[in-house]
Amino acid sequence: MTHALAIARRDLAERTSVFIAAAVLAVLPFVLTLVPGISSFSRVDVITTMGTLLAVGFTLGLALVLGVTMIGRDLTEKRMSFYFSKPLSAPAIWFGKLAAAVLSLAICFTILFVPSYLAGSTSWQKSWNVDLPIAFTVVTLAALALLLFGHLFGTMFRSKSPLVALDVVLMVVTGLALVGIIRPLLEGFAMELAGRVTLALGVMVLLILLASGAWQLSKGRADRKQNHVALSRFVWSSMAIVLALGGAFTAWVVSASPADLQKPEVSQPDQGTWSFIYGKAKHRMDYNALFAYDLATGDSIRIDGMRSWWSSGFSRDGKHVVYVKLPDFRAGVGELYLMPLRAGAKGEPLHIPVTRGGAYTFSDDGTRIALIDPEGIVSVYDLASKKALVSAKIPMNGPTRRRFFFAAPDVLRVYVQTPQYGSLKLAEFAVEIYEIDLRTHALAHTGTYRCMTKNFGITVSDDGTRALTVERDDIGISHANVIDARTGQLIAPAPVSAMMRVTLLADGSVATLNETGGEWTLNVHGIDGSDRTTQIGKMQRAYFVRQLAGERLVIAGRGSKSWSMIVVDYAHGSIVRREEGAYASSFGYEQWYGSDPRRSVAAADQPIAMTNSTGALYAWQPLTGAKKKLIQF
Amino acid sequence: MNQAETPAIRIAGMTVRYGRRVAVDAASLEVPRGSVYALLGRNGAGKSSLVRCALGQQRASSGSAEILGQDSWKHRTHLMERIGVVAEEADAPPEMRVQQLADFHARLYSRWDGKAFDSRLDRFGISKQPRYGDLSKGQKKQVSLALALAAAPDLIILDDPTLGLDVVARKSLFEEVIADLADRGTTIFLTTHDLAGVEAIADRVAIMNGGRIVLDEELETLKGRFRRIRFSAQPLALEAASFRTALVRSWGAGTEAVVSNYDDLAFERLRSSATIQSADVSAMSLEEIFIAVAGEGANS
Repeated sequence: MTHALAIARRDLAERTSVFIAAAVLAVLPFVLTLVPGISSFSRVDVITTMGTLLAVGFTLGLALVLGVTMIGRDLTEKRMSFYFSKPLSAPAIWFGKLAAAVLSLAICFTILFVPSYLAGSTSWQKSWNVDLPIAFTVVTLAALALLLFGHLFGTMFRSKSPLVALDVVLMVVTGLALVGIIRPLLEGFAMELAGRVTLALGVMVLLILLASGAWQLSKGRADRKQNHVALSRFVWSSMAIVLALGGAFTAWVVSASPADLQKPEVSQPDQGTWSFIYGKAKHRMDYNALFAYDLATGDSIRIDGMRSWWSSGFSRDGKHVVYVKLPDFRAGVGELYLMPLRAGAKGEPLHIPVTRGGAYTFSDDGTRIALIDPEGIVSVYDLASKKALVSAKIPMNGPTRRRFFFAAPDVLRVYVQTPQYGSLKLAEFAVEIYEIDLRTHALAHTGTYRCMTKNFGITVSDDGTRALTVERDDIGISHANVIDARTGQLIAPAPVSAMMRVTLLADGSVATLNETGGEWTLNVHGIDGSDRTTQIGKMQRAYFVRQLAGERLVIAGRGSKSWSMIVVDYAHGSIVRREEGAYASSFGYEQWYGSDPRRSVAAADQPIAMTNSTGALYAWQPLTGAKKKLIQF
Repeated sequence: MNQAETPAIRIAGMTVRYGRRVAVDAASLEVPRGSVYALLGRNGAGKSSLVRCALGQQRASSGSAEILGQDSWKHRTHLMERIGVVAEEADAPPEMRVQQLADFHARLYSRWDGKAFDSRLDRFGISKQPRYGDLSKGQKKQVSLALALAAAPDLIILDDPTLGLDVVARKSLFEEVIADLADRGTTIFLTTHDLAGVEAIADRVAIMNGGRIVLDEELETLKGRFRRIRFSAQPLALEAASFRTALVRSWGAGTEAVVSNYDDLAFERLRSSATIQSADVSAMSLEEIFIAVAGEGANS
């Protein structure tokens, strides 16, 4: 310790000229206020801004210079023998020099920063809009990093050894490994976890660099090349350990199974037994994992690197899914993957580029896929040949609501809301309807539906002839109409009020859930003008879950204590079954998500993903009432 | 072996490589305590590499070095308290003033003798105010020597200490400083090109050539066995006298040879040989021996 202090004192004494330079520069912000042109600005603002810029710039620049020179120069100029011919240990030499460098930086920063800060601390806070302790911490860490990395690079490059080529390779490998550790976390939306892992890795790297100097001098001593060898060995082997630990941690994080999810969200298509389940994984902070999950068997397929889990679409038969992977965190263009939904399957890239914000839908026979990007370019691909069948530009300005489906095997119908979502000119809202003929490549504008609000949704009957439009305002539903799905012509207003729940059924009927004095009723308004009512009972809230064969509907209702799932036979106005203490995990039948707006009747054997009050996930057969516990979250 | 019997320096089988180049090739030597030991060699012979490795400043490729009975690589920090070092090249920070250097050393050495440092500087005629970098080459050596000696070392290692010194300073170094230290029992290990100076004070010398130690013995013994012989015959005549030659070359119509195992009887046999009309023998200085052993044309 005494010896380290002796070295620190010696090095500090050597830097008097640096401190004088800092003192001279500290006057500069005050002098600048006298310069014509600059004097028109607020004097205090000029002083605090320039003082801070000078302090930070000078300190960081000095950190780099000191890092490169504090050991490297002595080695290059063969002066390190001066220390090693004295009773000085390598750690004393390193930490003495390091302490002197850190102190030099602190002194220079203080000399440059304090006078300008004192000249206007309030102005400083206003100009920089950052807490002083945070600013100090950032500058300190940046200076320390520059100092230590400066030393690392200074030692490596000053040795003039061919070993530096290996260092460069290992630097690149380390960088890639760091990306490999952090990226899966970001892909799991774990911003906080990724931040903490990055911080932990950064701290460990700084600790390695802090220790590396002592190790380097212990093993390399006064010899320039041996210093380089010792430093490289220490840094890269330590880095390998840190990266292995980081990699193991990330591997553990991403190894989360469906059972590790907490309060997962479920996205269940109308057909098939597979769903997406998604949520934060236990003990992994904000890391989210996504799985394709078979409700019938419990089989799961983890899907890595899917940036937007909602950027997925199930085929109409529920046997395939497409999803987008972005090549990197900020990429604007991703790649479309197609995955058959069966145990052990893997997503295969379709080599079809997809713009961020794009949407896609399958043809009913699953042989084609249609994409629409935020600019309105519609493309249809044949999945077997991966060739584009047609491409057309729909008049559209920026991202907006789009829903589209194959109205016939060779006809793609597209609904586009204009102007772009977010406009304030309410009177101009409209849904434009287009059809693209795959045989003739013709784009036809088939109709317009004028709507009154920007919060608009559309669902279409299974045969594609009728559509239900629902517009919402801050209170609830403001307008709902049944329209011709191709032309947008009004067929009839839907009988709804603001607080109702409403959905279109597969045959084009409109179902509503109405509440009067706490009593809920289900009304189904048939396309033939019939109106069938079923008394549901007392509930606080309710929503539609699914349409079943045999004119039945599944409704989720919140009673005074818990949720329950209710199977309603609306043809006979009776309740077939109640499953108490459970609610549908999926968003349900009312959802506006997805590209294909068509409603369909669920297959007879299709289970519904259901969560009970203990958080367990069940597969429930609404027609038989059979239920199977899948995961206890 | 008790501590007094262990050599001040023991180097065993030391090899130093820089890439493919071998700077020190399996060198071994022992420096007895209390002796003045001179390691001689031409530039690039490997002396400084050997010294750096002996001091634990650099790791040898193989072999070992002990100083005062301890491994100098492992125990360098502790050993340096007892060793004074004057490096071949001035290595003190050039920005430091002489006084600052003295203060720095005073913090490091428990046996630091400030008065001794001051008086030695006075004798060298050097002020304590100048920066080290502003001193002449010779003054730097003298300051380094004064710093090394003020720590009252048991062993002093001088790597080419006369480099840059003028004739007077050189004479003073050898005849006063080193002789004085030797008288007080301090072990001195030095490398030098100043053979005349060494000859006056060294107890033992070693010669390095091409990285190898080709000679290592007491100076008196060395001088006793080396002779220059000139005779009026072909070199073949040397075989009759069983002389080992370090150097053989033509000398007029005859031969000049440096022999390394001279004795009078053998010389008489040579002189009485029928083919030789005249022969004479002369003693050699250390410099002449060095040239014969390490110079151009030396028998390897």
